Amino acid sequence: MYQYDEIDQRLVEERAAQFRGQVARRLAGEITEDEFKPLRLQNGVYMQLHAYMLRIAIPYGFLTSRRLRRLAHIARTYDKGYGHLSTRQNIQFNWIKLVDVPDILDELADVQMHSIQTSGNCIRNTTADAYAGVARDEIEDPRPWCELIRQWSTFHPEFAFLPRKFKIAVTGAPDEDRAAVRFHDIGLRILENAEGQRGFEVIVGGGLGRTPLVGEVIHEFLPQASLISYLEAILRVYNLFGRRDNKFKARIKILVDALGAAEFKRLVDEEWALIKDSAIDVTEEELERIRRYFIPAAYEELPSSDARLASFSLGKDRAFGQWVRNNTRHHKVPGYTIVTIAVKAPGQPPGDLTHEQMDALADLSERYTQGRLVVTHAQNLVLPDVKTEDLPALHAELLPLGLATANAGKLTDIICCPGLDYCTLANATSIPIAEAISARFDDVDYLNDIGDVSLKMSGCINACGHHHIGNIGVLGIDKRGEEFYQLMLGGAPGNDAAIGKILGPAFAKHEIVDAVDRVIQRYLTLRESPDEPFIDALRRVGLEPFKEAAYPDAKKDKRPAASARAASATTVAAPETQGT
Amino acid sequence: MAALPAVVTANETETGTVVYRTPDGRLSPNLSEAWVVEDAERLEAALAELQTQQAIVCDPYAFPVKVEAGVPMPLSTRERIRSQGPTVALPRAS
Ligand code: SF4
Repeated sequence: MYQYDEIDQRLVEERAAQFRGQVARRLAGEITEDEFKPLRLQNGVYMQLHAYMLRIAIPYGFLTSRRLRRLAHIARTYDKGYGHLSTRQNIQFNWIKLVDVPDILDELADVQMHSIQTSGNCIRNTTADAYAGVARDEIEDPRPWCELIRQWSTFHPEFAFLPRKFKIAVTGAPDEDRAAVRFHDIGLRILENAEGQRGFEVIVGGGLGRTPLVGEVIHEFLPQASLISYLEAILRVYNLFGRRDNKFKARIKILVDALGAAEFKRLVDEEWALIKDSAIDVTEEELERIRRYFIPAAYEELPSSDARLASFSLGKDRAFGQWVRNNTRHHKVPGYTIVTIAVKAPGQPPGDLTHEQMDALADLSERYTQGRLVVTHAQNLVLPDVKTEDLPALHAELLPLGLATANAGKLTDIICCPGLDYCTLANATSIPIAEAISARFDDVDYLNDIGDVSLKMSGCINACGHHHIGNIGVLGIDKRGEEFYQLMLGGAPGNDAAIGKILGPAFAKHEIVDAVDRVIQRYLTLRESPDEPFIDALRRVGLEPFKEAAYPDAKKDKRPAASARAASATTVAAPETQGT
Repeated sequence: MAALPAVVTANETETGTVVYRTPDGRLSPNLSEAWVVEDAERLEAALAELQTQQAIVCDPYAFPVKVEAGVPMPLSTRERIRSQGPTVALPRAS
């Protein structure tokens, strides 16, 4: 885990002190809300539907037990006792008082945490593969690169006022993209060439929101040593040519789309030629210094536990077996296992953790995984370094905490934005739909029969819940004050990146769960074998059979006019999204 | 300007709490105590007055309501949820 040096520490402490002064002036009436708003946003403070919300950065999702305990303390002391894991590996508190924020920032700085650049038109928290550093299919740990990007982008004066927010994701696993790199402003894939050299595939201009686009590769193999100068060149081109006249067209994806990837690359290369091989790029010594902070866990020398893991999943204790089957992954070190804690218990808002759960998880992480945890973009937690032999004991301890739900990667492992229950930009609620779906499908055997399928839901077109890249996507829309839901199918976030297609007219709130159910039923009847996943079956047969299932009455009687109208009546929302 | 009748609302600057302007000029967290404004000029004046109290409240605005049994009811789902809190139970310790 990266440890702050004196400069990092002073930076966050001074920033907290600066914000204390700004809050005092705001509360004294010396500055107006309009003057204060950009200052609070730069410190992660939003105004939501009911109260202020504070977003706290968790760089590349990595937490220590000490930091998680501090977050539990903040939830207990300053909020209503819980926090919300966001879809960009951060955590949000929904009931914060402005007057308390300076104290909270001090408490965060004390454990090397902050809210810097969690909002505003700047480079946001860099995200990474949640299995970084422990995945068996990884060729290199991406976290030192994420940390380098964090240090380069923090308070970078040239990029403090970009046309719009800017998000970067990195993966070191070329065969399975678990970081959705093709849907970021910049996505970086670490690759290895035939000579054994490492480089980055650089993908630019991906994104969701009102204009979902898959990113374009503009460099197939960037030498690793040139990363920062190349990123700087991309940002400079964006800063110069990105649109500032229209917030809805200001993201880099619009620029790349308008210019074409080849022309965008030409501009980047032109800019890069001016700065490459200069002092902007880090030296190998500096990179090595950063790498040294990412000390691997103190692994014991153990024999392979792959067979043991397989036997656990088939054992007599079915609940434990299903949890092992769905929520664990092979570790790169023999004898160890990666565990996903699905924060998706039936009837609970996806990604919400109580302060008791946070404290308990901090304790468990110390006893089972050397005090390390990871927040995933799927709003779950990962315990990265669990000894396979410890899995039964860990599972037994997770059960009473409500954290042993065996649904990772399954239909009820729903990614869901806060929606209209919290978000001031929302058109419709999303959490109640997620809860209703998780209640409808609360049967692990049935979920396992359905197999791997992702369901992602957003309360408005800003797409914080990534609905475009769910195998099943649900988007809340507003029709004359009524909540309606569009259903889309076929999205995928990984190496097979795809944007889902809208199935047809939107469903009323009371119809959407049944519609999802009918789509699943149709999949079960048309798949070629239980091994054919939902997305493969959909790609094989196309949308039509699913459309017929979702709209069984479409031929008999026309869809209710209200639903049909609602499909084309998405309310325009302002662009400062709040869900991530 | 919101359709009439309407209620004037804002968030408390210090705490973020949702508040409504009452007939006697107070700010109440209860929508049931809100002043239902029937007149565009008075609505504009109430909003302008709150705009001058920025240390106390931020971003005042008005939203349309209907009055049922003497109590203002928001026309939109958004304002209904904003006045009553999330429609889902808040997470609690298991
Ligand atoms: S802005 Fe984001 S969090 Fe808010 S409703 Fe839209 S998608 Fe959800």
